[in-house]
Amino acid sequence: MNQLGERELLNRIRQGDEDAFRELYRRSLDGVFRYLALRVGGKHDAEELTQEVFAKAVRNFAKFQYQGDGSYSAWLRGIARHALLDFYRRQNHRPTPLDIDDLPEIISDLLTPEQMALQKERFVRLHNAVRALPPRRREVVTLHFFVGLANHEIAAHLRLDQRTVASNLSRALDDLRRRLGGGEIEGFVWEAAR
Amino acid sequence: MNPQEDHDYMNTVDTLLDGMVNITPQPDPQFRAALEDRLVEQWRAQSNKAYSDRSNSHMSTLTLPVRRPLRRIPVTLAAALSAVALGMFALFALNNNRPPAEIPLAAPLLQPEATATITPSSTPFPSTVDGIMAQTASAAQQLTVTAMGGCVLRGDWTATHTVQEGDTLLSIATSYGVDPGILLVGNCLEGEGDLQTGATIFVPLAGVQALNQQATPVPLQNITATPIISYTLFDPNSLVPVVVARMDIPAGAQITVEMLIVTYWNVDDAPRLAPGSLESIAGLYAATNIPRYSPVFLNQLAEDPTGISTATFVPTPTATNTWTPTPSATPLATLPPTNTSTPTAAGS
Repeated sequence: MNQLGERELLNRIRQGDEDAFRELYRRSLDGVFRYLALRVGGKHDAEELTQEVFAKAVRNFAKFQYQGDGSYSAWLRGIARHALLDFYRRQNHRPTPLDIDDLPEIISDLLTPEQMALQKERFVRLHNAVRALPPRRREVVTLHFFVGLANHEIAAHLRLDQRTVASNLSRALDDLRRRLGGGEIEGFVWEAAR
Repeated sequence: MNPQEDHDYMNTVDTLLDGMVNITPQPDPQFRAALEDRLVEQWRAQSNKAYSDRSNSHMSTLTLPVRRPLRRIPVTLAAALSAVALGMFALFALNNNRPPAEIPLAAPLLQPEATATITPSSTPFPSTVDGIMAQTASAAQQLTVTAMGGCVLRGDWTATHTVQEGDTLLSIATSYGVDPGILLVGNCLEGEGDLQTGATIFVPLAGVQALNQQATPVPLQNITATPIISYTLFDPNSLVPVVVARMDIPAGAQITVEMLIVTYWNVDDAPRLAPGSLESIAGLYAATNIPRYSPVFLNQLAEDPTGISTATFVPTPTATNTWTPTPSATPLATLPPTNTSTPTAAGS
């Protein structure tokens, strides 16, 4: 079963094969969870959103059209993006600081426990710095980084001028820099990406 | 900060999010297993679900736990109405010394009726929540509410609608001026797939009366995006509010709440960039003509009326109801069909 390609798996699912259904779920879960967890920060929010995304996928399964391998995960990613956008819309009014204990389990083969602890701490600091921004700036930064909207999309979404979006973004980045200390984010990124 | 610097900075944060190769958040094993079982169950229920055997399938859906409190007002209102109706029903049953066992649990759902028409009463339309509650309470005296496994079929809604070929949940709800969610709840329907041609559904009177005060309902003609395909009754998280024009709104007009209605769309089908709350739109001006039943898009709105060109607007011949969209109309289409736009037609 775990050797099957995406297309064969999908065919079997359409014919009612439960094992194929479970296999597809197992293959997709980590990707969706990771995508969401990195963007919402907290474990509980990530779990709730993951659940929402998969439930929606199952509901709309008949509408999905196979367009080559990878198209299923791309489709799931689209649903997750919608869910994320909706989540931020709800969340933006009352952001609560992220607690380091609410981070999901993090797996790493490459980092020592000390490095892991440091990474976690920085991850939490970044999320909390974003959450502590004034509402408008927080919204713009979140839509830009975490949902991945372009400036003009943000402008339309929030009914703002594009220039307002750009200036909010720029000020928010100044704020973040000040809050996190110069070089903190950059250092983090390079360390993490190495 | 110069633009180049901004750009670099954003790239680094993007890298942070997408390229964190060393940080891989993992779902808990319990969560993994529990979600898997739940999805399999959902998937099985869905594959087995034959629309001809609806009563079983929506019973099973109704047993799903509610994960969050119902936040959106209309759905909450529906729940409140249902609660009041249940309470009234219980009182009614007690007063008549009828044991609860006589509640017709297995009553057939939505039996087609020969005469299915709107029967508005003379009660004025209650404009407040209290008013609606009071109306519900008075309606409870002749209650024909049927309880079905946790769902309350709103037989006390005296207006009914016979589902026609081509009707959608959104079209029915919009043409009566009621919330699609309320229609679903009140008719114990799980989603649009449960609407069968010829079946009769109950419509809350309040919405019908509100609409009668404005215009005669006409069949929906101009929903251009895909409306609600299917959604589960008790999962309001999958619904997104979308404001739809209840009437043709000419360019330059200041938009009032009465011109709009909030509808709920499946999140995957909802038009993006269409606002979901009346408050965010009311008071603004229509920058273009917004056709009736079309979602209102942000780029159709302006904060002040100066500069909006109204010259191209051709009023529909009889104000409402006769406007027919061109088949290719998109939500962004702004002009009525050209058959009335010739100078001679305008002059005559």
